[in-house]
Amino acid sequence: MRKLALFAVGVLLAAAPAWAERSVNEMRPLIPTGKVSISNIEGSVTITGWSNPQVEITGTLGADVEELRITGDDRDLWIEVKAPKHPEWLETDLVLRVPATASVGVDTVSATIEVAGVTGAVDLESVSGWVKIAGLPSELSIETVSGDLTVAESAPRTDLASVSGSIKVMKAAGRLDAESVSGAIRVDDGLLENASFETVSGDISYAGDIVGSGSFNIESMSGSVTLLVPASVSANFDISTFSGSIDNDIGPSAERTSKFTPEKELRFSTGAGGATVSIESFSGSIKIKTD
Amino acid sequence: MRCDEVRGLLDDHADGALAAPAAARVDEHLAGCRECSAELEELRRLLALAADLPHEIAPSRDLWPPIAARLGASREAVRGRLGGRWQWRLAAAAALVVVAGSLLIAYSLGRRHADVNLALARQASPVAVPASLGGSDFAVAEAELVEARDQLLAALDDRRDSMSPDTLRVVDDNLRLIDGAIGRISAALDADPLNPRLANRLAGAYRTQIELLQRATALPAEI
Repeated sequence: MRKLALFAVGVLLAAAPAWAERSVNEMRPLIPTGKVSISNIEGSVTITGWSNPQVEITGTLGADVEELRITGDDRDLWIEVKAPKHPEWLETDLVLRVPATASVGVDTVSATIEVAGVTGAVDLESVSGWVKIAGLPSELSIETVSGDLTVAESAPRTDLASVSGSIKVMKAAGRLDAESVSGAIRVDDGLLENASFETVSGDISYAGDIVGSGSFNIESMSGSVTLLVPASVSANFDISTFSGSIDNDIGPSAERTSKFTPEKELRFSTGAGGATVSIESFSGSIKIKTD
Repeated sequence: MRCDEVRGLLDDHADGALAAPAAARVDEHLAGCRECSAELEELRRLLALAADLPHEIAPSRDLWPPIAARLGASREAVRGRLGGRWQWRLAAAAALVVVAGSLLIAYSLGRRHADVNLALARQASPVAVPASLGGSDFAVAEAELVEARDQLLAALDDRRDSMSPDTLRVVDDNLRLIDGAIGRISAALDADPLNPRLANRLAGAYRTQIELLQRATALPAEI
């Protein structure tokens, strides 16, 4: 019986870190045009905008977290998960409500990031956590290494970057720059005036119109490029590939440019011209399609 | 304190970030340990080098600002996430990126030549490319690009232990992919040495590779 009791105590002690999670419930003032910066390591950061001039911080801290350090003032607030050097239990879930017009910056290692309803500038970075954002921030910048990145609606100025994480934008307008090494870049429902999409091996697809007289630059080494545009699109196209294929539904066909290499090139205009669309690949296929 | 314990604290010590008692213990060890003192001196030299890096270089093509911006952002990210232990590596990478940045200026000049030549070639179709394209200017720019690439590869090797196997695989696979492209374009350029499109494409492939390496060396530590 005594052995059994000792065993039970041992089991309970082993499970102690899970019990030792601490809940968070803090409130700090922040002016509507203020800035809040959050740093977490593992777990999640979920942020929603609200109409109060305050930041509400709830959630749970991992057992090994030293403290949730909150510094700054009602203009510039910093919230940081502090960890010891060799932690085991760091999984911390933070749920914040912030003034909707505030600027938000989040920096995580593996923690996921989800932001909704914030109209100030948003700057998100994660190493391996996925990132999702909904709402219409005034400016948007997201960078991950392997985390996938999903944007419900782009900002007037949006910068997205990953190494292997996929980049998906469900609705895009204004200016959008996206780059990835191997992650796919997919943009749907586009009304972009300026864009730059660049990958090494990731596929790139854009579905939508090209408006105004801006520039579209699309480059990939081996990834495929697919442009799905309205038949009425008005733009000047300059397309080339070293050894890939070029399929064009809205104009002439590509031509070989050298007897020594498989290079192909295609230049044409549609409508009254307008935007400049430059697409270049090394070996990836290029398709221009109409919807 | 043992040497390995002290070396784990040197970055913070150089930053003045150690608490007074810990700093005193480190100083006590340094007073009697030539190797650790030398390590601290080297660390300080690299940090000073990073601090002295030029903040503004004006290449003819707008290459430097995004590199500088990324470098600055990466510094902040690394500092924020991981404290000081990667600073010396970043300083080393930063020095190399400056080298790469200045070499990219050379590339940029080469590219501008090529663009002008391409325009001329188009005017005088089918092919009337000035011989200078295949001459020494581009060869010099290519040699500089290769040198910049090799230095960044060395910086990447220094960072491999801090990167996850998945990220390393992505970086290595894509570097190989670009190597293959460079090889094929170079072979095509050998067969058609006055083709400005190929020269541009070759420079573009090097640029892509250097940007990938620059980015990989500035990634935050994953391990």
